[in-house]
Amino acid sequence: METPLLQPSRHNIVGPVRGSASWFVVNPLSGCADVLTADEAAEIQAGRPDPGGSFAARGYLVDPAEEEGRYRRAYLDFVDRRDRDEVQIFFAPWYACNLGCSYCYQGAYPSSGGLPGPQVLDAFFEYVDREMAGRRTYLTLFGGEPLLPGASAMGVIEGLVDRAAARRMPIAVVTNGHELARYLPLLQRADVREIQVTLDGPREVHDRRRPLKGGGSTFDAIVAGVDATLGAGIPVNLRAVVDRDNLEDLPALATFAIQRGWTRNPNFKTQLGRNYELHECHAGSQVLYSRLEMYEALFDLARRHPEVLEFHRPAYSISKFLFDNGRMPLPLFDSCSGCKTEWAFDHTGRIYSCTATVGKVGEEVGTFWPTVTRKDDEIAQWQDRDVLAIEACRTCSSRLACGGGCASVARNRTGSLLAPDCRPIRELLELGTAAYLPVEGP
Amino acid sequence: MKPITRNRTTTIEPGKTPPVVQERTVQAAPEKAQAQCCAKVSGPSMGCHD
Repeated sequence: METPLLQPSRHNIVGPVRGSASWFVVNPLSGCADVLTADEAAEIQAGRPDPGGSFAARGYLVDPAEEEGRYRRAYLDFVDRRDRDEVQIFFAPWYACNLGCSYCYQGAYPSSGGLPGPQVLDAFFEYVDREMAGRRTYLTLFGGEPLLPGASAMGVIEGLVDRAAARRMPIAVVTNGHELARYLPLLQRADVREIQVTLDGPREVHDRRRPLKGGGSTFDAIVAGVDATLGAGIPVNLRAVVDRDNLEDLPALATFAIQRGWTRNPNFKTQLGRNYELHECHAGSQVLYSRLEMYEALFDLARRHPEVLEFHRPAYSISKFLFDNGRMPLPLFDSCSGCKTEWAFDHTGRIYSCTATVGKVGEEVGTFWPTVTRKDDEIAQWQDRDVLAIEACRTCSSRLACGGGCASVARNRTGSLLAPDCRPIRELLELGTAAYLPVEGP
Repeated sequence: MKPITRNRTTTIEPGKTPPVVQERTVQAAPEKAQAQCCAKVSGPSMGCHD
């Protein structure tokens, strides 16, 4: 058999390690990642095989026909895996909130409409029972703020928790955390998988950004809620929403979490949410980071304040996964879970693709109450969206690390779901390899 | 070239799928596969939305 002519893989992502003479190559399709010299990087990019054949063995130089076959098989594996994956069901019992955050993207959402009665809750669970039959599901309480003060609100949450518990459906909660300690005994009637709470910095910074509606501190009540949740053995996902106004306050928040003992608790994890324009222009857009700008700033911050890394280790795209696990993540043909492994429902009986669209007027894809309706054409558009369907993704070497990004952001920007929301994968890997590549001894 | 991933390095035989590719079919634990994208228990301005 004639040896095929090898060419650079269409999935090579090659770049310099920030602040170093070294380079990296990662290939999400072959599953390989290596540190290179600048000369080796140039050889791979030029398609010149190395004497030992390592470039080919690692999938950086390929027979294009053979690689195309692997690409198709990997895609089928991806779809198959996703079809067997768990489905995350969000429910927004209202869009009201007791906080007045300075950057809320739901500010224009309707906050009235009354509380959902038992018939709405029953219709919701009946829809999930019927439409998600055979799939593993879990329920995430969302809003607005799902854990509002008052007996009426608590009664609705009780109705949701008890119905989930009766089905052995695990629950999660996305909450501002202000009433969390009060709700904890009720939530524990179900299997609580995780509670996400947001702290935007130390007390003064957090209270400035996330005060009670009408004013008033929220920091201490939220901290008490986190303490109580961890004390009950329930995982806490602490989120900080970050922009130029509070990034430099992260070291103080990290120190607080470390001194509080949170970071030593195996049930404690963190995430940084970038403050960004989801649906509408942001009044204070000059404080917003682009995705890359935020990671650049984090990289710099962690160099000056290493304690930040004890609190949160940034992902830098796939970098953290790569170095934590010593292997590449599986090829990501689609990073948007909307209408696939994620659905969102609200108290009005409407069904949405995901949390980015839930509550946004005109973006519903159906109803579960008072009658069941489905916009099948629209749902099909969401379900068909992946890096094969988005033309701009088809020739992008980063597509299996990026997955095409957020469909809602793409549609808001271009008017089409079949448009990319590009992630700066190579640039993030330049930072991530510098951050996590083990430093060699003398 | 220094490997970051622990996959074996072998020479490729024409017409055969390299072993490294076969390793791709090993399914990751769900939480690991999920980590490539996002912290899934989350909402906007988090995880897959950003």
